[in-house]
Amino acid sequence: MDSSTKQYDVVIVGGGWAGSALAYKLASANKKVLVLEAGIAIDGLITNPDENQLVTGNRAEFMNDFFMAMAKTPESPYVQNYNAPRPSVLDIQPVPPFKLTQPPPPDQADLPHLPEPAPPPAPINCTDVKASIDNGYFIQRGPIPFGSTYERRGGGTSWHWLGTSLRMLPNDFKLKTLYNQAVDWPLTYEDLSDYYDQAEFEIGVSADVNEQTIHGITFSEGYVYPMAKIPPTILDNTIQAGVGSLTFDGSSLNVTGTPAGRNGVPNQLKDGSFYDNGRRQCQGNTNCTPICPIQAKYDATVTMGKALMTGNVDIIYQAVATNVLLDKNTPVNPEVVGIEYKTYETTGGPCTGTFIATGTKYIIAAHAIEAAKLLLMSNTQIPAGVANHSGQVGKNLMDHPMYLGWGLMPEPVYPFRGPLSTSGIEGPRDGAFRSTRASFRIEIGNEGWNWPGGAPYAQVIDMVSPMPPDGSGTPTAGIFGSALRKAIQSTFTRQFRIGFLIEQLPDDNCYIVPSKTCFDNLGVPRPEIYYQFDDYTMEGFKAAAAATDFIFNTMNVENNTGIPVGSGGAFVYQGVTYYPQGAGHVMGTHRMGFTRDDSVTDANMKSWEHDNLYIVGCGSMPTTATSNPTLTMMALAFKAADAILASF
Amino acid sequence: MMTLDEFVALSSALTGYPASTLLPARDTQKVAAALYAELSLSTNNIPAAQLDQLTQVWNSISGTPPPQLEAAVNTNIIQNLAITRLAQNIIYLWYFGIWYDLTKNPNSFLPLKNIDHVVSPLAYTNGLVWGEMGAHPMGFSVGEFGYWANVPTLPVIS
Ligand SMILES: Cc1cc2nc3c(=O)[nH]c(=O)nc-3n(C[C@H](O)[C@H](O)[C@H](O)COP(=O)(O)OP(=O)(O)OC[C@H]3O[C@@H](n4cnc5c(N)ncnc54)[C@H](O)[C@@H]3O)c2cc1C
Repeated sequence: MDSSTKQYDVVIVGGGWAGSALAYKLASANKKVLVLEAGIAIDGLITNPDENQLVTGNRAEFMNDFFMAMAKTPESPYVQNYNAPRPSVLDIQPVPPFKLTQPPPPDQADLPHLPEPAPPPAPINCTDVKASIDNGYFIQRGPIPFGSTYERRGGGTSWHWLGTSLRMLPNDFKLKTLYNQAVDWPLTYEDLSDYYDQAEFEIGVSADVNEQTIHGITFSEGYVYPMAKIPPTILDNTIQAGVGSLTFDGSSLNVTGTPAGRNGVPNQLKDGSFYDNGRRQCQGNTNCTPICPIQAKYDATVTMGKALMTGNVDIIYQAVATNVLLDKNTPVNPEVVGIEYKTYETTGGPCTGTFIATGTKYIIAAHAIEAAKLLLMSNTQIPAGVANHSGQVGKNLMDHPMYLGWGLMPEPVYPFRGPLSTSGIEGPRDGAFRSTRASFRIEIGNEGWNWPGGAPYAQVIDMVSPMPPDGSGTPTAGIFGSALRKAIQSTFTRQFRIGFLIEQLPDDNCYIVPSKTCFDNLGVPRPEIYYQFDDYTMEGFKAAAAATDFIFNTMNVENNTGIPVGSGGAFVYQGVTYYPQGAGHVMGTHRMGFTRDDSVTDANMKSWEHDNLYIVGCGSMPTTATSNPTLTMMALAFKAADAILASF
Repeated sequence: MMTLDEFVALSSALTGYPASTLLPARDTQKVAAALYAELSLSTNNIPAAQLDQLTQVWNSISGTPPPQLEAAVNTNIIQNLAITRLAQNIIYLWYFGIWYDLTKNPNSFLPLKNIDHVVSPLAYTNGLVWGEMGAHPMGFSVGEFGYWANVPTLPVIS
């Protein structure tokens, strides 16, 4: 099929989370939709040593790739694609000249901390495209490496999301008004409330309304989540018993179940029916990230499947959008007249053609970083790029930088069982302190020290082959047999970690631009990233460390917090070195706002300049709040879909 | 060269698990055979003399009565730096399903591209470490919805 000649109502760039939600909603209202997806089809590519052949597989084969991976990273089940590359957590290295191993001594604590003067961009050798992508898809300019990744294949990053589906707090929409920080959102909690209901239904969220009625969150009369809350783990209950009734810095430490896009026990809905999405109940594989083996966890392929079933959606895989074409006959605020895209046949093979897809309306839903990159690359007619009158495209790159604390409980809590996270501490998400420091939520991890400490591998190796003092490969004697078994039972059953998702404010110094020197295999520029933390966020880290001490001391936890394994970045704040981790929550790069001068889109995610262009994704979010962003993003996508339907 | 029987008996002493668990009578998973094959994989670069020495030492103590066997293994194999590293790799095969480069400490990550590898998906899912702590391999649960709310039974150590 040569889709380039067919006329569509809507052309969507990106068949990931937002793209699937939009396609489904628009197609259900009988609009003809074309989706251009850069990556491989939904049941997609598996590991194949020969990148000149396309070998596709299904979830079971992704599982095999995961089982065989030495480093079981979020990316490990999914093969790299040089024609639509994605970043990997293994690439996140310190950005020179910052040296992870040499924090300034404490007596230099008062010296100016980050942002340090930006290092002169080091020349990067990208001539060997594949080798250079193997060393990291991002061009990291620092001073702190950006720690989050995404996936480019049908279904997008939903392949390895964790499942956390919290609503934002009403106050999160009013940061400027309430705390004189950053900006307000051009909409309120109330504006999104119905869309939250829709998104929770589509994802299939398991949670308890009473427990979620915190910090002013309200639900519509008689509302129930699609499924009952996922049962808490022994660890969740232990932390609740230890600190649940206490406060830290004025915030309650009450432990509550985390709303999750994982199947639990169906609820009877308002209309009397029982929720049923046809997928299985969670089996507690402790593997939500990087892949749920049984699809008990929602992913966007579910919604894309429904979209395709309407008969109104065509999707072209292996179609990388490279240029948003504007109407040359309208000098002011031209409309979009087409999307230029490149195709390829294999992950390492050449470009097989360049085409133009046309429709009446256009949506960019290509993930926060790729969407901004595409708009900025589309500069043939307007040098600043498409939709960029405000200069904000690509700016305000944000995440929920994470602080990890880990230790050993005095008594067994039996980690490595159940979903990766079932509960959290939500009290510190809002409070008067937000006029000076970042808020955070605390995620309780059920995977022992797997994230910060490479468990169980690193600790068993410490028992069996203790590292010699000189760090060499010289053999050393350790324990074995029954002593090893006892040691595993007594330590691993007590391992746990908590993770703080810390608020980050929009900042002009954090941005992504298309690289002028580094390209992927199709010749498309790679993302060049500048990233740092301001005092507000660093104060959040400081508070997170203090909260960790408070919780651990109260509960007699042996505190093992140190340098997380494979830590890419570090920063020093008031003499203390912190090792932030990426949360995968990439936000802010095409933010919505009140005026065309300070934002990229309006509250319906319509470009201020180009009347038939919408830009939808977590990049739409003006501030990060502390809730994992995707439920809110999906609610926003449904809002945008309504606006698009109304505009026909 | 070490035989499969020798490998299983030595593995039992090193892991603390009965040989009948490592190589069950009805062997559906064929894990022992897959792990044993690692010893003759040329890319693993096992010095032949080291493997011979480990085999000989094991055969010289394998008849030790069970109550004293661990002490004998400790003295003759674990504390013997000429062969301990290879013995440790046999432990990793069983606990993780992983073969590590013998020339470095498995906890040193560099160089990133090396010969460390997971033997097979089945070797991973049968790794002993998970069951030892009352859990399951990450990504391979046979539990029912909600099992995680209950205290697991840890295996008995004999
Ligand atoms: C490890 C991890 C855990 C996470 N856990 C959670 C969680 O628990 N809760 C939560 O709320 N969020 C979580 N997230 C974030 C969540 O996955 C993302 O917010 C979400 O997937 C973003 O949706 P999107 O549609 O904007 O982008 P994506 O889902 O990434 O989809 C974008 C799509 O666009 C395609 N594309 C890109 N460029 C082009 C192009 N040029 N042309 C055509 N197509 C293109 C891509 O291939 C992709 O399919 C997590 C993320 C990570 C990495």
